[in-house]
Amino acid sequence: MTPIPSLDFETQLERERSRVLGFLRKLSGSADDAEDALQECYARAWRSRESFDATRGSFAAWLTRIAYRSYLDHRKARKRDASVDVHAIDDENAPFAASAVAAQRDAPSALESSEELERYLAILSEAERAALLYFHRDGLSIAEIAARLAMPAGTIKSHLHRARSRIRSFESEGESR
Amino acid sequence: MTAPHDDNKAEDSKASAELRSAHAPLWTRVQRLLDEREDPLDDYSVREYLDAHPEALEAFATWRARLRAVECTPRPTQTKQRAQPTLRLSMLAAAALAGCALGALGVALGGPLYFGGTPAPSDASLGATPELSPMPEFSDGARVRSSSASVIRLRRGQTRAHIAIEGTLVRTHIDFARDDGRHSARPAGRGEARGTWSPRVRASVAHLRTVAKSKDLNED
Repeated sequence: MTPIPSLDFETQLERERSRVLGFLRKLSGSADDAEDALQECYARAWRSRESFDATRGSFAAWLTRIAYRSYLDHRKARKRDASVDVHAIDDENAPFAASAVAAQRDAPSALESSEELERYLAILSEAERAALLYFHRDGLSIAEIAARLAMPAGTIKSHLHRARSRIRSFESEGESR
Repeated sequence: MTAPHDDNKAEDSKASAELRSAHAPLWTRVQRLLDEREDPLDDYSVREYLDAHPEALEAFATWRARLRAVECTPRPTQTKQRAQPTLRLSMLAAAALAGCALGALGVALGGPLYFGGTPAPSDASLGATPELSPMPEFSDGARVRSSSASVIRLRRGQTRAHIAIEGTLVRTHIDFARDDGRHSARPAGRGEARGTWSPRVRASVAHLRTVAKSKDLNED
């Protein structure tokens, strides 16, 4: 195993930065969480740079896995700290205002433009789109959707699964363009 | 004869198809978890699979982001008002706040109290059942359909409550705690990514602060 010289390693890290940040934003749905996880990821990558073995996979894959693990740890820590003092929020100039703005900014996460969203919703059949939106946007249960669309619950589930799969596939097609 | 560009495209499509089928167990598992409104990353088998197959990470993250975007898709009546994103947020927050207010009332009065559904057995020692205002109505046909607060008194000054709000647009679960005058809250339950403070949860928790100021909530 031949480790990458430090200088090259730094260069490679820098080259990967925006891709890894994009990956973390998609994974977390939050710009702030992605930044935090990125910092941790790069610190870990630097500490374990000796362990990178080019014969076992690409640098990008190695770094993506570290980013993924860093995000999971960050997420775990966030869960522990998820409880907040009610009195610490809601003042006009308290974190609530800023965090609500941040949450709103992150809600679609600037990850998917509305045009792109419309594009991949457009590839779905009417029934698939209805099932997907009722379930994910409106929070209806499969039974409620079945009642609303007058279809058996099993059919709704099939539409929902197909809609999700096609959305995933659409991304793959998009990447291949 | 096909052009080189077409050849590349065909190769890419083939590779994509192979990637998809190669990770079929992952996608099947994720579909099932999504059906149950569980966060796939809370599932050990999904986490382990992704760790062992980092080549699936990008596709997984992209899929996750796309589904998250679907959750934020404006309802049809607001599609024409794309320039007013706060309108939708306000409506979500309003629905959550109204439901939360009802749920918090249950906290204040020592519940459990159920609104809009089958009445829960009442405990006479906890006081009279309050007069409830009608379910609030919102524009676009959205309304809070039901709200419940399950309250557990651990000891004097220490209370735990689970507030659940079911609405046309929102489904929010909040765990509420009172410890000797200190109130805390956190998102909980299915349908809300645990540890994630969505705008509606933030709005609901912010509202709890107002409720927490009330004299009733600070008395046993």
